[in-house]
Amino acid sequence: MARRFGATEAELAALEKGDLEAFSPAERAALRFAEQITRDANGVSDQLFRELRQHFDEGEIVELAAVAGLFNYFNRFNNALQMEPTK
Amino acid sequence: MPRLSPLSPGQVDGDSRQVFERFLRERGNIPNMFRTAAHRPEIMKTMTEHFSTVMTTGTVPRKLKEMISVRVSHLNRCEY
Repeated sequence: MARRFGATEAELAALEKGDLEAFSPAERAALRFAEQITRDANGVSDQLFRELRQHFDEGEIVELAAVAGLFNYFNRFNNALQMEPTK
Repeated sequence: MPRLSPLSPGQVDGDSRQVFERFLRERGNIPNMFRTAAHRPEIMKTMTEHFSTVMTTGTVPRKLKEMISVRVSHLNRCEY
């Protein structure tokens, strides 16, 4: 799906490795926010949040938190139930 | 082997059947996650609705939302 919406092979490879340097400052802030939500949502620092606010308004931050939260929900649901990829 | 059985279109009715048929029309298959969640039709239906709302409304570019989904799924070691 990410490819369909314009992500390049290089971007997908960088996402796999967690190498965010090649992304724009806004994308990097959003991806760091999503990473921190996934690892430990209580650990989102004030500094990271300030950075996020430089690029996104409050509604957009709701969107970003919702995407990260939704995929954590779906990933946990699928992992626990040993879901097979859809063919 | 998945731990729960994914339901096929012939095993569901009502709202679930409509949701399944829309997936078949729009993407040619029905994700196993939703086929499995269909054991509880209300949960499956609102899951798909929330997924669609989160991914397709608002002003954050869809590409960035998709990249977040890739990064989060990788961190969670989710092959699905």
